[in-house]
Amino acid sequence: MTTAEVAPGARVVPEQSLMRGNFFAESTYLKTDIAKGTTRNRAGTRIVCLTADFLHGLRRAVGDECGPAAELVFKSCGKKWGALFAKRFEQEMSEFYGKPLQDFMLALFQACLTELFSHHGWGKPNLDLSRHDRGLIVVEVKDAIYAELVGQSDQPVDTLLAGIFAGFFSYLSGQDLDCVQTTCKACGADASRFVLALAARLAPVPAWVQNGKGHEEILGQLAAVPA
Amino acid sequence: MFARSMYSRLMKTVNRTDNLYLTPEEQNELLDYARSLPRRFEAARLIEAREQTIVAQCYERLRDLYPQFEHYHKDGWDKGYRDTQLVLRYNVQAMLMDDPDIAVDKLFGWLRTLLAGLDLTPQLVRDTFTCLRDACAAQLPAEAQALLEPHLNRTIEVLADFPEPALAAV
Repeated sequence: MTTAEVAPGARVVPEQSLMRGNFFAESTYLKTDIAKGTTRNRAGTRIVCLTADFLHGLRRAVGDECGPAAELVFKSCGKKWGALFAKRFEQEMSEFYGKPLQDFMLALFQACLTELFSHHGWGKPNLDLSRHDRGLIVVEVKDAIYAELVGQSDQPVDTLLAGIFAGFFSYLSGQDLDCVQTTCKACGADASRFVLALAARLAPVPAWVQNGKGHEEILGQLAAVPA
Repeated sequence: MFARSMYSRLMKTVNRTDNLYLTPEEQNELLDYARSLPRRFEAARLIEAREQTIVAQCYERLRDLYPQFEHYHKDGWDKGYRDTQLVLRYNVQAMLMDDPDIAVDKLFGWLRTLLAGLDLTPQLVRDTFTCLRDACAAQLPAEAQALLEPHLNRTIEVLADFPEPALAAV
């Protein structure tokens, strides 16, 4: 037996440094107590599922009530929810992996972020930080929720998700960030794309999107201006 | 909530035969699995006992294949060693339950995003887990390896399935 081998019956205890697996693993992430009628995630946070009908209804109701201001309402609600979402994410991740979220290496943060949104059904995000030095973050989301629900549109429809990203990253960065959706599957793009930056910097972008400017063109124009 | 009960032969059969009695074929399928458990436990014991030797052997080979790796990733070999231990342990779980989906669900999807985020190449990931499979084959008796190998093959297939990075760091 080499020194690396273990006597039969003994247990190999994982080293302290051994990373834990996926917090969001489907088999252990959610637990439903049928007697109480509650569903909680593995950190004890209560979760409720919303159907496509509910989300459709929410969009229609806000549209009927608020008219042209509906997108602003979605953005604003999303920002609040996003900040709370980030706060809980920070708490749960830090507790589970045993270190503060800000000490996570970037790849781990990205992997957990992708799982968080995917497991909650928002679509599968992919974070592009290649223009971070220009003060820009891009998030590409495959199968974003409202793009699928709405089906076809001439304007991006995931404003709620844009708001959530704005609130989420504002909370984590400590800066007031905004987020604008630049491509949408409902408009015929292959994925929904979102650009995050300081709010003032993104101010002209919604008009650019409305006038049909493409994602790359928008990024090029934003990146040309120093952060 | 949805997938927790999908695991394991037993639960899959129970779910499939909801409101029915088990057919003789279904009973035999479960009995076969039950009879295989002592062999699976024995394989798991051997892997646990030789884990460090297996992973060390795998990394000895990788250091030769990727001499520049640690220039790009501080403590990269140590972290890789740790992640490979984790992958091996989830493979053992999958082998015990005879369910490859366990490792994919619990670890691989998340780990793949993480590996891609480090700007590793699919080839490096393929090489890593091919070396792991080879080290297992060298360290384990044929019967244990036969139980584990399909899961290691799935590991290679799933974990290396991501796009090439814009700028590789290997």
